[in-house]
Amino acid sequence: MERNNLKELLRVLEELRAEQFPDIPMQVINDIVVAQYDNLSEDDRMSARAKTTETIMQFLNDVAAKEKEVESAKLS
Amino acid sequence: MLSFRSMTLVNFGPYKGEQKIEFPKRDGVVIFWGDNGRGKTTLLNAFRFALFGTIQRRNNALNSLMSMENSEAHASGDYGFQIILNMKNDQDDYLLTREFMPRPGVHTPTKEEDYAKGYYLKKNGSRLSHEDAKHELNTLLPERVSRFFLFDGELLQEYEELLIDDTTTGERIKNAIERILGVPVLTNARQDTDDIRNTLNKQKTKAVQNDSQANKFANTLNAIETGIEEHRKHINDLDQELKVQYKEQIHIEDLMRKTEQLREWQSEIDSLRKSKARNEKARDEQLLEMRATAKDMWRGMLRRRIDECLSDLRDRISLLEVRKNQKTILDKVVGDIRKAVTERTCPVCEQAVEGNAWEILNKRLQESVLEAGLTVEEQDELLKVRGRIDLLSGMLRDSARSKVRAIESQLASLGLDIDSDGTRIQEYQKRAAEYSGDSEAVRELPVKHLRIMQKIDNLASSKKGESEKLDELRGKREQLMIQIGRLAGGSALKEATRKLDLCNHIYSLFEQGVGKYREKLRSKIEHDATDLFVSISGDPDYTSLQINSSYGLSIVHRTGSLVPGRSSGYEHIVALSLIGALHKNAPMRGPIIMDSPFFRLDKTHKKNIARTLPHMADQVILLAYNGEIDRGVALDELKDNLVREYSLQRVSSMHTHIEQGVS
Repeated sequence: MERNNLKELLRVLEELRAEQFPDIPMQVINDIVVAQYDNLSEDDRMSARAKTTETIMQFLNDVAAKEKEVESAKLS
Repeated sequence: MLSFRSMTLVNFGPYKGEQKIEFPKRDGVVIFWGDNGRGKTTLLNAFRFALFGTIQRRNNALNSLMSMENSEAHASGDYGFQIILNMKNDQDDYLLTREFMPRPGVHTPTKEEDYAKGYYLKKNGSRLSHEDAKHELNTLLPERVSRFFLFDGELLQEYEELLIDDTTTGERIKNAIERILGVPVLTNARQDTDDIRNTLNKQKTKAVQNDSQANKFANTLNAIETGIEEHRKHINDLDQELKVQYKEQIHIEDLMRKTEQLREWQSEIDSLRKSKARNEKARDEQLLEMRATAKDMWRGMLRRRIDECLSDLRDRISLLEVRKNQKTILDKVVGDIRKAVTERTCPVCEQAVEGNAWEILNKRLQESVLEAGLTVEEQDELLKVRGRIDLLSGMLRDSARSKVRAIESQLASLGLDIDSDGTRIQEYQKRAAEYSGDSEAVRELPVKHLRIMQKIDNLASSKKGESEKLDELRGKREQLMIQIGRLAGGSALKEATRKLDLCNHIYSLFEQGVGKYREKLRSKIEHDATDLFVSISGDPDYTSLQINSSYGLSIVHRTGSLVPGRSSGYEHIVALSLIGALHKNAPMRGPIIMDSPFFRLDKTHKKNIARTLPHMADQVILLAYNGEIDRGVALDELKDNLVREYSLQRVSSMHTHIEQGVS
C-alpha cells in the first residue's frame, strides 16, 4: 500500500536504514509506517500495534526460516 | 488529499431552509463575501459541526448547539438542523451527514436536552457502521488538528504560546503540529517495536535457560527479566493513569475555556456579594451609631433659643468687662493723683504741685473713689454670666446635629452601594442562568484543575523513577547478553538472539528516525514559513523566521538578532506562515477554511496574503467582507486562482441566503 503523502517520512527512514540497518528490508518499514498512519487515532492504537507486531514477527520468522535452510544446506 | 465537494445546510444559523454550496473540482480559492452578522463565522462552524459535532464561539462564549438553530424556522415549528458534507480523499468519496434534531417523542423542544445529536457516513456509496465511520473521520481529519484547517483569524494569537516554554496551550499546539506532520507514526512505531522487543527478550531468556552452555546465566537473567517486567508493568500502569489524567486535564481546560465567561460572572457575583455584605455591615454599624447619637438630638431643637441667650449674655458680659477695664485705668490715674497730693510732686512731669493745683487734685481724688469699679453685685453677676455662657456653649458643642448629618450622608452612600451591588448581582445571575449545565460544578473547575496538575506531576515523577530503575536493569541485561553472546550456543539460542538483534535494529531505526524526521521537518517548516513570511511581510529588515523545538517562529532581523515581541498584525502574519508551511509539509493535507484572516492587517499585507493564499493549500475557502479586503484587490491578486465567489445576502436579520457570484 502506498501513501504519497508519507514520502518524506519514508525517505528519512530509508536513509537511516541504508546507512545503518541494511539487514532490515524497506518493505517491512513501509508496512509498519502505513499501519501506524492508518490507525493514528487513540481508539485505533491496538489495531496499529497488532499490525506492526504481525509485520515484524512475519519478517523475523521468514529470516529465521531462511537461515535455517541455509544452515541445513551447508550441513548437507 | 482531502477536498470538499459540496455542503448543504438545513436551518443552521441564519441559513434558513435547505441551502447548498458547490465547491469547484479545480484547485483554488473560493470566497464567501458577507457583511458583519450575515453568517461567515457560522459557515466555519458548519464545517466544524459536520466534521466534529462541535461549534466554537469567540470569547469562549457558551457553546449551546440549540443556539445554532435558525430562529425563524424554529418559530414556524421546523426544529433542529442538519449539515451534509460531500468530500473526496484521494480516490474515495464520502458523504457525511450530521444533525441536531428533537428526540423522538418531543414535539415542541424548548431546551438543549430535548434534542439529540447524530451522524452517519457513507464511503463510496455504502453506509459505514458507527465504529468504522468514527475511524474514517479520525483518519481524514482528526479534531486535534482542526486548528490548522479551520481557523478564525481572531484566534491566531494563541500561536504566540509556542514561543513560551511549558504552557499547556503551547504544548497542545505543538502536539497538534506533530500530529499533522506525522511524528506519532514514528513514536508509536517505536513504542510498539519496543513491546515486541520485550517479548523477544523473554523468548531469549527461555532459550538461555534451555541452552546447555548458557544456562549458568539463566537465574541471573531471569531475575533481571522479572525486574524489568515489573518496572515495565508499573510504567505502563503509570502511563495509563497519566493518559487518563491528561485526558481529564484537557477536558477540564476545555470546560474552563468554554465556561470562562460563566466563571467570570460567578467571580463577579461572589465579589459583589462580599462587597454587599461589607456595606450592609457598615450600614448596620452606622444605624447603631445613629441610635446612640439620636439620644442627644433634642439639644439641636433648642439651638436657636440657646443662641439668643448666648447673644444676650455676651452683650452683658461685654458691658461689665468694659466697666471693669475702666476701673483698672481709673485706678492708675487715681494712683498718680494720690501720689501728686501726698508727695506734692507730679509723677508725670516731676514738677512741684502747690497751691490751687494741689486743691483741685485733692478734690478730684475724693470724687474718683466714689465713681470707681463694679459693685459687689455686678462682680457676682459677671462670674455668673461667664458660667452660664460656658454651660450654654457646652450644650451646643455636644449637639449631635453635625454628627447625625455625617451619619445620614454615610448611610445614603452605603444604601446606594448596596442597591447597586444588588442590581449587578441580579444582572450577572440572569446571564449565568443561560448556562444549562451545573453551574456549581463550574465553580469547582479551577480547584479540580489544580488537583489534576498535582496528580500529573506526581505520576510523572514516579514514572521517571521507574524508568531510571528500568534503564539500570536493561544495562545489566545488556552486559549479560554480551557474555552469553561469546558462547557458541545451540540453534534455539542463536535463533532467539538473531530475532532480537533484528528487532533491536528496527527499534533503533524508529528511535533515530523520530529525531531525524523532527529535525528535517523543523528545517523545512522554517524554510517554507520564511518564504511565505517574506512574501507577505515585505519589510526588508525582516529577513527570515527562526524555529524553536516547539515549532514556535521568531522573526529574524537583518542584523541576525531575533525581533523581541511583535505586533498583533505580525503575529497574524507569522501564524499564517506557519500554517502554510505545515500544509506544505504534512502527510495529512486538506483544505483550509479561513474566517477573517485580514482583520488586523493593513492594505499592503492584505494584498500580499491574498496573493499567497493559493500557495497555502490546494483548496482555500475564505470568509470575508468587502472592506476587510477590497474585492478588486482580491481579484487582481488571485487571478485564475479565484475559482468561485459566493455572497451572503440578507433576507431578514435571522435569514441569510447564499448566492453564487457577487451582485
